[in-house]
Amino acid sequence: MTNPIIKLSNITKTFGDKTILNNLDLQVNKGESLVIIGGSGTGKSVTLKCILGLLKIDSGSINIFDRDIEKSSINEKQEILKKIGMLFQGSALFDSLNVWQNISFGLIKGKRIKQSLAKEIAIEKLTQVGLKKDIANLYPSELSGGMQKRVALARAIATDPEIIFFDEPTTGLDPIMANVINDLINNIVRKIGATALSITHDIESAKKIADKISMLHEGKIIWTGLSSELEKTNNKHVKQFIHGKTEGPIEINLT
Amino acid sequence: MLDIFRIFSLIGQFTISLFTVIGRLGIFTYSSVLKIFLPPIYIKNILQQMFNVGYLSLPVVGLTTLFTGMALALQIYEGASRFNAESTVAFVVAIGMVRELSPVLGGLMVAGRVGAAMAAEIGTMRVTEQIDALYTLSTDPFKYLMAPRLIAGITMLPLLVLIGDIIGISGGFFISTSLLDLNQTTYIKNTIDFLQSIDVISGLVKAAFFGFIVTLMGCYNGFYSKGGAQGVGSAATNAVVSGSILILSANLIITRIFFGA
Ligand SMILES: Nc1ncnc2c1ncn2[C@@H]1O[C@H](COP(=O)(O)OP(=O)(O)OP(=O)(O)O)[C@@H](O)[C@H]1O
Ligand SMILES: [Mg+2]
Repeated sequence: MTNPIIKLSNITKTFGDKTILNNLDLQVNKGESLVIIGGSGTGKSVTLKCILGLLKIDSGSINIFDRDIEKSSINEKQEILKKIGMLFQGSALFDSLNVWQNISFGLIKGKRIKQSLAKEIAIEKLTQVGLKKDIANLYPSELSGGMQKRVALARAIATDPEIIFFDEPTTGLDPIMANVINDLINNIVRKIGATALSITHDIESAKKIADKISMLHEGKIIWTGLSSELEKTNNKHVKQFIHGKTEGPIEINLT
Repeated sequence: MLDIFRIFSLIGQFTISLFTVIGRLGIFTYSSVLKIFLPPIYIKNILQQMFNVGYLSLPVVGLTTLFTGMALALQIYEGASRFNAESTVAFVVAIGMVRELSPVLGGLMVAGRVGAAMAAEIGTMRVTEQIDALYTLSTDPFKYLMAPRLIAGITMLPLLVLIGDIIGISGGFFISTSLLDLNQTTYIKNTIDFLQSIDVISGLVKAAFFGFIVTLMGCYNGFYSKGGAQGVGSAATNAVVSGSILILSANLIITRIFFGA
């Protein structure tokens, strides 16, 4: 029996008179890794932010752990958020805190774990994302873009959340490091049993980390399939997208 | 004809955005103030902000009140000598500083220094999604960022103003007794005899309100800043401008409440 842990029904989200999400439906089952692909600016990051409650949706409903997020109290939301990790597309590291303080933020502030233990966990996560532990005391501004991304990844997984959102986990990384991160995400989903919802432009990475792949286009999910089906599908939009063709049903505005 | 409609539409748009801002500010103020009293309390953040608002503003406030006290003594001496009333200098300088100049000028200087910096800091956190990140790490930005800043403003500004009072009066004393030929003992005696505790207290109450206004405007403008560097820049400007105007108008109201007949 499938058991959706995240369920979006009929989500509409507009900014001013621009409709970004238009009656979008999406389900992620427990222990599953779903990857959303889609053109730049189609609303992938907006979808994640709506699920997290960072953006208010215009209509529709969002259920996480079988609870309607819109109808939950602030305390209930906080309890739900404690079981969720989020990697932001732009890292969003706290620039007033150093690397290990960033990673252990959710442990200390959210889960009230003692500082010394939290630091140990932070350093362990740091090595998992392929970083050396001697950067633990550096500040985010002293790191390269790819290093910041990985510190942000370490922060997202530090509390061992049940659901993790990854907004472009491998962008800005070299191919080898991208694979380290792919393996890490697989490991978290397969071994620890977490549920992952990721966004990526990196088709190779998508195929490696996804159980299922969904494509977002013009405010809707237009295709969902197993990761092995991606190459074989006849869906014209998907075909055009994964091969990066400039000709096809997806309109490109170059004006 | 069309022009008339445009004017109506502009007035309408302005009114709507005015009420939007007032409503948003009201909710923001309510949430921030409420969160001051609710646990968890981030002691470390509060102390850090107190250091920032209080200790680091000392030089600015100290210098402002010193020079103002000195200039005030010169002015009052010159004015009072037209009535042969030089003995009132001590008293007028003290009242002027304690009731009015130290809190208002102190508040305005802190609005420039602290309000702008807070708006820029929180605005940067907003546009780089750090505030969103706080929220996803189940930390309430109001408790973690706003409440400590408001607490620091409300508590530290009275302290700064009290120190400003002392420095300003000393400045007046120094000018009056060294540059002008007023007697030291009489000057001190006049200051102490005529200055009432309500004078000092009203100034400190003003300072607490001004501290609240400055930090609230800093946090509010930062929290709602949009876009990139430009958005953060205008958030800082708005924090200073709105903070200053609110300080000056609140000053009138509080003065009226304390001393209005
Ligand atoms: N806060 C906002 N205010 C107004 N418009 C926004 C806001 N956030 C996003 N948008 C708009 O929503 C659309 C979708 O943005 P989103 O960030 O979700 O794109 P994306 O699919 O993640 O793209 P990318 O792959 O480039 O990251 C864009 O057209 C953007 O202009
Ligand atoms: Mg995005």
